[in-house]
Amino acid sequence: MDPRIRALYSFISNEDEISESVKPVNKCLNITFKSCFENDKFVIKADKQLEIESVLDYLHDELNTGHWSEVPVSVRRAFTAASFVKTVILLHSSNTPEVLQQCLKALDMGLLLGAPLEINTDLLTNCATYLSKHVNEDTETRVTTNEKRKHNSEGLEKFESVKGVPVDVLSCPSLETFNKYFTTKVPLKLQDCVSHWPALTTWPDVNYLLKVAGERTVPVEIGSHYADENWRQKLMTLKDFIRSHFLGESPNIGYLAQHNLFDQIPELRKDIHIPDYCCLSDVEEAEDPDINAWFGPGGTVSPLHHDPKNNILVQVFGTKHLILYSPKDSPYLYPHDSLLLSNTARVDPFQHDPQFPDFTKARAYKSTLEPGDMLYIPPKWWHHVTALDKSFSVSFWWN
Amino acid sequence: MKVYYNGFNLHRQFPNTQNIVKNFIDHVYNDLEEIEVSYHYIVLLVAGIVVVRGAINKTVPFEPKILRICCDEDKVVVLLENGDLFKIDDEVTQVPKFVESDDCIIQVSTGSKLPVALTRNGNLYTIPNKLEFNSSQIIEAKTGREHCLLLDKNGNVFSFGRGSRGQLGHGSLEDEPEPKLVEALGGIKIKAVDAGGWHSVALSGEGDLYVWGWNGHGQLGLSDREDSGEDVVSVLATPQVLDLSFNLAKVSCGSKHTVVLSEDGRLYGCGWNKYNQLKEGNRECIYKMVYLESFSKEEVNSLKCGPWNTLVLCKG
Repeated sequence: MDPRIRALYSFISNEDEISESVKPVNKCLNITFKSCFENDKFVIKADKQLEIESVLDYLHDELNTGHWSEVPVSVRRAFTAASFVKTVILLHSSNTPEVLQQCLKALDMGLLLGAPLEINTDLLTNCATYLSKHVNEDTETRVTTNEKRKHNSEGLEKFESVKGVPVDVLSCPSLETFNKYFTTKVPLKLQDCVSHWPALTTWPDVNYLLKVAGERTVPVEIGSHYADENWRQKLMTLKDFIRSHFLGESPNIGYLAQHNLFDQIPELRKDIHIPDYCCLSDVEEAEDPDINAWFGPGGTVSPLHHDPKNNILVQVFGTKHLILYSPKDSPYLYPHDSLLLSNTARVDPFQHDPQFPDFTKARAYKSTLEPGDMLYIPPKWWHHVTALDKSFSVSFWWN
Repeated sequence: MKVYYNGFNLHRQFPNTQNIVKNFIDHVYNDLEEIEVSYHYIVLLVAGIVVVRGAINKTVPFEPKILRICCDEDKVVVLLENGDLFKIDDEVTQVPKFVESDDCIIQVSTGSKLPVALTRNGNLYTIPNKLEFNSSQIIEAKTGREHCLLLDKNGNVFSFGRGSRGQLGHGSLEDEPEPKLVEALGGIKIKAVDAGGWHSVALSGEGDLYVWGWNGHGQLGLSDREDSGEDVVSVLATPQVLDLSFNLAKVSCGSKHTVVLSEDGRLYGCGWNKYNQLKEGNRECIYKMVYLESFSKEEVNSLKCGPWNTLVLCKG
């Protein structure tokens, strides 16, 4: 047996969970899925590409049906299992670097769209970590980025033109001090709290990111911002994203935004730490924070919106401008009517539109984040975020 | 009936022995009255008998006469002339009556998550729930995966169900629990509608095609380019006329593809092509309407897409 297939099998802790995963979804689909295995044995056959493709395509149609939160977990688990089976079938087919790339893509699709299996919890993550080490380190993927930091002076002027009060700043405050802001729900900028993060030194060199995760598939938002009608999401490899949107001159702004990159790629999770401040909580039984990556070129914008949870935004490299408004000022910000965008304001902090006369009554708070800074944004606080230059931030959301 | 078919055939749902039928092949089904296509099987109505072919094979006779058949990925639904509704999955069961005692189902259409029935008294059900909407003018009901289009005698189009990909055509992505007139088509007399998985099409009496909904795989054919949809929206929430140089006679939608027949019998299509449900080749998506094949020598009754197939039903 191919040693790589043997390695993939070694990550399995329960075979039945995988081979039985499609059964709850659809009878005919289960027949197709089962035909990918040897009779009565957990051995995945080689020439079953079409079968497994049709299973995945069927499940993909199911995943697209209904709102994402309503998709049955059985469908998402079946997608995870089928992604594993596809990977093995691909490895049967040949040894080329292209096939390894296809395997990683299949595993990432499973990680992005599927749900972790109950027993084989980390199956796809482990397979992807293993295979990504085997993808040829193509020297051509190295890029040179010793360019000087280019501040967008126009953006700076725009930011200066907004009247507002600066958010308080404290250097590495004690938990007790931070708690005063946390309990009264007031924003605070914190400095010198993440100097121990390896990410601060390793990530600014994109070659490090390319080496660790260049072949991994990630979701990228294309378009100026998510409330724009031409906005869309696209899946692409991190390498392609870095080449065309981060370093390249693509006319469309691409933003790897609000993505849990760190569950998908544990190799990067090692470079960051959950801030101690996240242990303060508004609820009895707090869960681990949701950790999201925000990685993109200069000019990315998150329009004025609010989120339901406490948020600590950590700046790893680049500069970001934030404008905040208290939830009390919501009526002056003219939130969208539609359910999908009800947490998004119609006003643009940089433009006074006579359509929104009360906007002048809203009180802006301003903050600029430089590498190593973090900002506490209380729940429901409106915030507008602009990246001045190439930027990577990590957000921690918790209750 | 002579049926030309292409696309996904892993389960030998069609007589050909290839897994993927790359070019249209014809087969004459004697006494065929209706054909319905799902992912893993096709359903034929042959001389009053329901025949299922593919991953499932079975033959089910009915009495009295069958008025209509339809199917989704889990079941076949059979409507009898007397208004009785039956469901075929592992067994054959009658659907408990849900219409009022003086009423009778005259049409049924089942999307994966949206089974719809129309009655003689003009009532509309998402089985078994009655909607508020009532109209005795509806002549056609077509369901996508979770949305429904209704066409009335006067050429008006109504839509309801899921709207998250613009498939309802009301200019928003909101869901609609009740049928709502598609105002963007106001003043245009529509003669046919069809619902794809998440997209919708309407054919006007003048032979123009209006499209709306999801365009993620090029199924709306809005692009100027065959190989890339980068230049166009992936979701279109308001119907838009497709600029074609010929008039259309017929239209049909698969889960993520669209085919049209011109007045002179030429077939065009766009959208998802992974199983060659449009034409032979490795191109997974085709973002503009391209010529597929000519059926000008045939008398075409209708076009009928399965999720991953295209069928041209001809006399003969």
